[in-house]
Amino acid sequence: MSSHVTDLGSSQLAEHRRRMLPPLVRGLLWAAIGFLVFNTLVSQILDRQPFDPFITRPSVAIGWAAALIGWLLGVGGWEVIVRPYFGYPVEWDVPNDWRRYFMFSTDHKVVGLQYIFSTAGSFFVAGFAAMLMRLELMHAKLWVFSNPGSYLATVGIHGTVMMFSVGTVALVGGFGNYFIPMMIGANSSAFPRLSGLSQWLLPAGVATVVLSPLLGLWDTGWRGYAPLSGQDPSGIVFYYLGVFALTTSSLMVSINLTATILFKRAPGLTWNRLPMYAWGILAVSLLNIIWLPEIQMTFVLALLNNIVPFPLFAEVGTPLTYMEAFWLFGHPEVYIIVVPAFALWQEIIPVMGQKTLFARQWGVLGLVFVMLFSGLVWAHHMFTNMRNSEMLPFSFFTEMISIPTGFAYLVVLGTLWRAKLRLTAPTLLVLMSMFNFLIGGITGVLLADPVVNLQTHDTFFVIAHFHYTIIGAMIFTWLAVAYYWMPRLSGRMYNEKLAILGAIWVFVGFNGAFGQMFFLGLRGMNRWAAAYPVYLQSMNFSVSMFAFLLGLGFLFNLLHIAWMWNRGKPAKKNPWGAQTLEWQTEAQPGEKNFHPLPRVETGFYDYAADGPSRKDE
Amino acid sequence: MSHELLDHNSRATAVGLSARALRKNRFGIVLFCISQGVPYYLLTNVRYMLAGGEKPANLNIWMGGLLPALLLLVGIVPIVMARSSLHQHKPARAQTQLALTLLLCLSALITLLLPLWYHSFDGMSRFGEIDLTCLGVASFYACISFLVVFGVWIRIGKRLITAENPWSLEAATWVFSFNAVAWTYLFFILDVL
Ligand code: HEM
Ligand SMILES: [Cu+2]
Repeated sequence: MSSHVTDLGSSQLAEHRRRMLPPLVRGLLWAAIGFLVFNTLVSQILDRQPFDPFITRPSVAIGWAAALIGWLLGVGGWEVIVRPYFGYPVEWDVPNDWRRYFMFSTDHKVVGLQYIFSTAGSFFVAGFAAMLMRLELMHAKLWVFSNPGSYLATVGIHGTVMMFSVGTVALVGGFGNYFIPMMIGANSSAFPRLSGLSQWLLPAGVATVVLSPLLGLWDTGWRGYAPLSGQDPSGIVFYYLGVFALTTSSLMVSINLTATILFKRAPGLTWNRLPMYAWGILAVSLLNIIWLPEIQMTFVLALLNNIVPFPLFAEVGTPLTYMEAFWLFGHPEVYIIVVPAFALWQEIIPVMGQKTLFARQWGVLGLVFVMLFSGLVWAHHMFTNMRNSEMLPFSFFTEMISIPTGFAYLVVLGTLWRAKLRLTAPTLLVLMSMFNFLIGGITGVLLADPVVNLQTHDTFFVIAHFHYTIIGAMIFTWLAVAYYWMPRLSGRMYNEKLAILGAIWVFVGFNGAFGQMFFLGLRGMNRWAAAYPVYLQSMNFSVSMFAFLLGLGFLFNLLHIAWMWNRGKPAKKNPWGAQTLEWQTEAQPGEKNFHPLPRVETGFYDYAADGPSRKDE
Repeated sequence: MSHELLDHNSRATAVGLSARALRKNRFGIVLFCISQGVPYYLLTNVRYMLAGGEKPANLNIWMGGLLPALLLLVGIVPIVMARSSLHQHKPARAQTQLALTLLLCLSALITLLLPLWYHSFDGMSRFGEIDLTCLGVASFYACISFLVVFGVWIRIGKRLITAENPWSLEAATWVFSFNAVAWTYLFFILDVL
């Protein structure tokens, strides 16, 4: 193979770069061409339909697939994957400046940052949808949206993007891609090209979901229940396709990171020295590898129902089939979201307290057992659809899952116990996250009780519950690590006062909005309803006010981080006195992490027994 | 020139993979196959939920059944033999063997697509529905296997896959065998058990 791969001189590469359109532009262009050609082929030649519409459901699905391939090739897949596959030299020069974030890259740090940007972007797009929803719900009657369908499409886009492009991705594809190779003392991930490719599926998937209303206002929410979705306007086709791209992205990340953790560990990094975050990523990767293909298959079948049509889920005789298949994935999905957050609590607290991680093995066991149990509880989402006699096992296992969850929690509490904690923004955010998760978790246990569940299902009580776990635990932890790792990412320090203000701001906004939602739900406020009885209006008004406060709070934190990224005080190499390996290198994107690979001699979580032992470097 | 590019070229020019890299790659492809096995598990469940153990009287056990299963299973033999041809530095022979696999794969694809096209069961009936689903999934993976093996065929012709650097051939063997076994499994669930 060597004879075909010749190194091009840098001048030739620069020449190639000048000839080429910017990768993003080229990706869009190729996507547009792919879509037009294949859409036209299907709708005008292969499968003409009455009245000869230019866009039909089959044509848009095929056109979408072509557009996706065009996009992936256009942003760099052509040069980095396809041409070298056939023995042509790699003509892909990634410049050492901002442009590298806008093109295909195989550097795990670049890919990590790309994921961090795209998840943050998704968060604000979907957050904007949430703000519109809250605006609508300030009044009991429709007033912002002109019809319930457009409100429901907004809810669906919000939920879909938040779940598949933020919740599932931010701490895995984002911080995971950046930090996992570093934390295990490696210079790259196991399959760098796979990783580069996975990142570019994300913007494609988000764009698909966000553009779906162009085809029609689908109203199924993020769950896309079939066979009901078979009656939806055509936008539902883009829901299934977009989620397919997003889940494929996460699947690739998981395969890559699992192999990275297994095969790229530095010498001496044995299993019982493995960082907690790596354990968390391993656990969620296994969940992803099993459950994402499962839901993809389900979505493909539901999609076929909308384009062929192929009423598989109606055939079975009850709509339960799709629900079963969806929640089989759906409950593990919530642990996919929250397990990395648990692991990160266990990273941050020992560092901030300079105190040995308490009962580390139990923490690992907790993460692993949460993962194993999460496949046994799915039907607690369907209590309203089952016989009383079938409820017990699901109720039981759901309550049982709080035991391993408790391990993860107690490990952090034990570490906190009598620690001389530095009250920095990351610490504060982890503590807030734990507080929020406690409320989310306890209300989850309540919901696992069929008696409570039958009353509160599909009310705002449920909305409050899962936002406490997702925003309350996962998003707060996301913010915590953004501050914690900012010195490592940017070489600069944020402003502690502003960060603490930011943390308190979102904490107040969050608890104000979602805390009230529990009571709103108990009083009879339904989800997926744009209009509601007038007696609920004043409470809804107040929820919306806090929600806007929360939205502004996130914006404030974003602006703070973005500003300090360039303007903050230069940070010391290891400002928190952490022992994990990512702090042992100052490598920036485009540079090697470790020159000789490090040799690991001890675990990362042992500090001198009493009191802060922090040696200032 | 950025370090990233150097990384690529060094990978591309490296002769052979280290034992660890090989294990890593094997692990990756096995993980991929496991993940792709999950939908088959789902299909098994759907088959029993949808149609119980029902088998229609006019079931043709060959087309879209045993025939593609046999063709695919037999196709594993030449692709495995191609590995040893490559080992003996006989790329041309390896290519011929792969061509045989490709031919078998193509015939399997046809025997899957024909019944998919002329489905003899009402597509809206319970068995018809799951039958079509399984045929569709199998055809999709047969296409994937075909493309993967075809790519390897081209690359052996260009001497990009050699005795020293046979990993891609092995990867293709994994994918091809996965599909063969997975379809055979589905065939048993669908037409035999
Ligand atoms: C920025 C603050 C947020 C606000 C104010 C907010 C508000 C809401 C509201 C009002 C609903 C719709 C309730 C209904 O009518 O049924 C909703 C649904 C939902 N939210 Fe949020 N949300 C926020 C952040 C998030 C985040 C960060 C995530 C996940 C990472 C998330 C995931 C979901 C999901 C999955 C749904 C269900 C959507 C559906 O079933 O279609 N939300 N949210
Ligand atoms: Cu659940």
